[in-house]
Amino acid sequence: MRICMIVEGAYPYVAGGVSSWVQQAITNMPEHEFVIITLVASRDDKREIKYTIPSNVSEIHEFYLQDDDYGRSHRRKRSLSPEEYEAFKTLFFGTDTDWDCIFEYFASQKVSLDQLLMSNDFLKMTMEFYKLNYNRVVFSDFLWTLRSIYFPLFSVLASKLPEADLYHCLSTGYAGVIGSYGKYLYKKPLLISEHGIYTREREEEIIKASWVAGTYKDLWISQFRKFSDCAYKYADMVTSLYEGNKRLQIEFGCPEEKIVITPNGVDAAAFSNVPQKDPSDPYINIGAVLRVTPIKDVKTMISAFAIAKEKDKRLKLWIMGPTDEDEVYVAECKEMVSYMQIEDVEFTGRVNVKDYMGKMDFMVLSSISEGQPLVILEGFACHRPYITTNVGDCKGLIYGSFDDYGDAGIVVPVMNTVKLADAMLYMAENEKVRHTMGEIGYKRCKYYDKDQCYGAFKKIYADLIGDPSWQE
Amino acid sequence: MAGIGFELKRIFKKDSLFSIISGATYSTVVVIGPTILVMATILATYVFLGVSNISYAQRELLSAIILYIFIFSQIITAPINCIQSRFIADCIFEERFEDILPSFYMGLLLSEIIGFLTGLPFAIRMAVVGKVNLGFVFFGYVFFLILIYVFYALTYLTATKDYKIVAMDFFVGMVLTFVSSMGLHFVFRVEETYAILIGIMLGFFLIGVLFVSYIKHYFVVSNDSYTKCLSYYKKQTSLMFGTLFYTMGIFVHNFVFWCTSDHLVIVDCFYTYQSYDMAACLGMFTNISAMVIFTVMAETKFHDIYQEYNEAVIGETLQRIHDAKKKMFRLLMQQISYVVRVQAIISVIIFICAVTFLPDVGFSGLEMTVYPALAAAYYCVFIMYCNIIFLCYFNDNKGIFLTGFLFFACTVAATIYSCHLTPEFFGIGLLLGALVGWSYSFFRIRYLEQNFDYYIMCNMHILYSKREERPSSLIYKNGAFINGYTKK
Repeated sequence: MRICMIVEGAYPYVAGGVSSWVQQAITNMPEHEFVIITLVASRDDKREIKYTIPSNVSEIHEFYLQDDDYGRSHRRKRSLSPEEYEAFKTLFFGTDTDWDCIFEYFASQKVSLDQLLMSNDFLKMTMEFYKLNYNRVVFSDFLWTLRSIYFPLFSVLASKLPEADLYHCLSTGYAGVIGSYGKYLYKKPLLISEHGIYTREREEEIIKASWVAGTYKDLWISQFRKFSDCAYKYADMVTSLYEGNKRLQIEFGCPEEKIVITPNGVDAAAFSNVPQKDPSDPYINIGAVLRVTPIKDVKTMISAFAIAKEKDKRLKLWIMGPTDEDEVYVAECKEMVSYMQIEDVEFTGRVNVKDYMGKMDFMVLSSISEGQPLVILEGFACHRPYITTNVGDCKGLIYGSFDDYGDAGIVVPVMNTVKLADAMLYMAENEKVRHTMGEIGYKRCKYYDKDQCYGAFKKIYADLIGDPSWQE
Repeated sequence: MAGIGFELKRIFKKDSLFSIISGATYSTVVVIGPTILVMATILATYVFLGVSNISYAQRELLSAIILYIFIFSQIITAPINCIQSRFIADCIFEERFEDILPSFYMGLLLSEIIGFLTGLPFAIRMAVVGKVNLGFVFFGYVFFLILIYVFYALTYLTATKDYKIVAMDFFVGMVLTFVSSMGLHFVFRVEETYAILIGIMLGFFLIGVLFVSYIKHYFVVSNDSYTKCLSYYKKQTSLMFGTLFYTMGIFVHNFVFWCTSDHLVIVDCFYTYQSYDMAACLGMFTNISAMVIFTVMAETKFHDIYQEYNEAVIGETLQRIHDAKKKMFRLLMQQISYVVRVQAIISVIIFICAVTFLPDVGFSGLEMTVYPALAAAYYCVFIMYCNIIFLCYFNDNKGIFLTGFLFFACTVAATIYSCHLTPEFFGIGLLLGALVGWSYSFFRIRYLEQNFDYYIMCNMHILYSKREERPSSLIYKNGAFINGYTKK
């Protein structure tokens, strides 16, 4: 089966999270051929491949959110038909968008994005909407904001979509719309498997963003909602990591009957022989496996460690993960360590976690946003308890969604330095508790088994394509 | 003529008869002063050197060579000037003053090369076929190149908005023309025709020197990137050809008449039709005040309202933009109708004076028979010119091109027809051409008015548009990165 996976801003250029999942999924399903569509900002950006591409990946395509206009000599200028006009109007300003009509518009001709965004039709509908809702704001700002909102969408829709037996999007948003376009074009099933809730993440981002003026935040947010509407409408099946995300998906308009919960999976056996802590090591090692980026809130973790370190000199913090994604932030974190004169903080950079995790006494995750972090499951596989912030399904992993084994760590509020420091000290002082929690985590791994996880996806693929042979 | 508005507003500030007379005089001197000054000087040298007493052949050769040099130097420089002018305007708007001086040299090189190449065959023909004295050919050729330079440099000088300097330089140059012509003939005993030709050449050479010194004094900084302006010739092709057609359209009816059987051939090189040419000249001067009236109005009022509209587009609500648009087009239509009405009155008065008094000073016969139709034709030409300036304000290159082209093509076609009619209708060719150009430009302005939102907010490119097909999105296939993908 030829499966087209569509990822935005991740595989194979960004390590961790969704990318790791994609890499493992592809590796674990060698019987399928995979075509990857990776959504990136523009042709000119520098990118580095972070993964060894598995042999069952036959093609990787780059779709650009900002691209030049091509094929100028072959185009005629034409106005939108009344149906197209209505469809675009509902896309821009209305509800219940006629996506079929929009997809047909892009499928039936070589679209000039320049002509579309600078067309009289676009101006007319912008004016109509402006007069009704925004007539006190500067018109040129409004017009250019709309153009910048839709340019990335049109840019990816103007790209040629490879044919596949099944389209699998790793999020809604642009990826979800492309997947829906694939389904429309080739009449093939569409699967959306969400790790986070894309629309919610974009909402949070836009609300905080300084580059979007207050007046236009609603417009931006409503567009991403329309993208998720499209993805949920066209999807044959939507997967969710845990119950909380499922509720959000329903809230964002996904029909409940389409949603299946498929938790992440870890290969616990692969962690069975990881190197253990040297008995002569005087430190109590705290491990943090994460990308050093603002979303992981490394600064709060460093602050909490500083407080804990003041009280217990045995503590040592290991920050393990890529440091090249946001170099400014990494520099700020290192500067913070040096400025606050915090001892025993190690930035290892990107490492093989198996070489380090067993040497840790307990693990920490300070993120302000997560889905169902694989690193927690990997920690559990190494018999290590976790201190996590209360985001995504961390609570479910620590306290148990499917069992009553007890706590496999401590959950603290987001960005709460004192509580995080207290939890670190508690873990440091109570070796027995650490050990107990580590064992509970290990036992819990069986509910998050890699084979179960990818087995579930194998079944979903087969179900969607109508192929019963997968069980044989 | 951008910028004379500031001076005019200062003059018109006091609402008195004196200020009105001062303003009108200032405008006239600035807009058509140099043209009148040059013609008056040439006429004066003719009179003082007694050109009417020299041989007919020599006299006609001198007149023809001067006529040809003025016509063709204008045709060559007009399309280059409009492009350079737009380049300068953009440089000033974007505060890239260091690009202006290099563009001056590049444009100059371009116009002189074109002038040199187009003039050379003519000069050779004059010498070889016409057997014209080589010295006369040489001075004529040099004068042609100097005049190209002066017409070209004028664009840069008007960009400095110092019109007094332009008028002053022309005055100084024409004084030198007169003095040197007299000196060459009366002191050095040079032949009248040579004295006049060399005198005019020296006068324009001095104007050119004064122009360049002022331009270099004004645009001090330079980044030596000479080729930057060349991209405008590609981007603004329609503007360039529109201007070329308009300029050729003004003279093409003469060219058609020069090819008729009644033409005059001088030294087998210069074709003229004296009565028609003279009538055309009279017709032009009957209506030339339209340019003064229009320039005064456009610069004192329209320019500000247009600025107001532009500012509204950048930073106002849609309602304010539409209000500013209505105001702008209301004023535009008022100004067009004002020029049409006032110029009609002026033209009729001048026409009555001309037909009454000119026969007494030697104008009679065919000139005065052809004159009425040409007076009406030039009336339309100048009104059309006003419309073209409005189209220039709106950067409507398509409109400018089509106006120029229609004017040119219809003038050619109609003149080919009218040259076979009786003399009263000789001017019908230009009249029809101008009417078509005028009508088109008027309806083009109305069309722009109706579609102005689209025209201003959408008539541009936001993306780099490439001819080639979209490159394949594929970067990896069957175990290998492709398409020169080197980002790993």
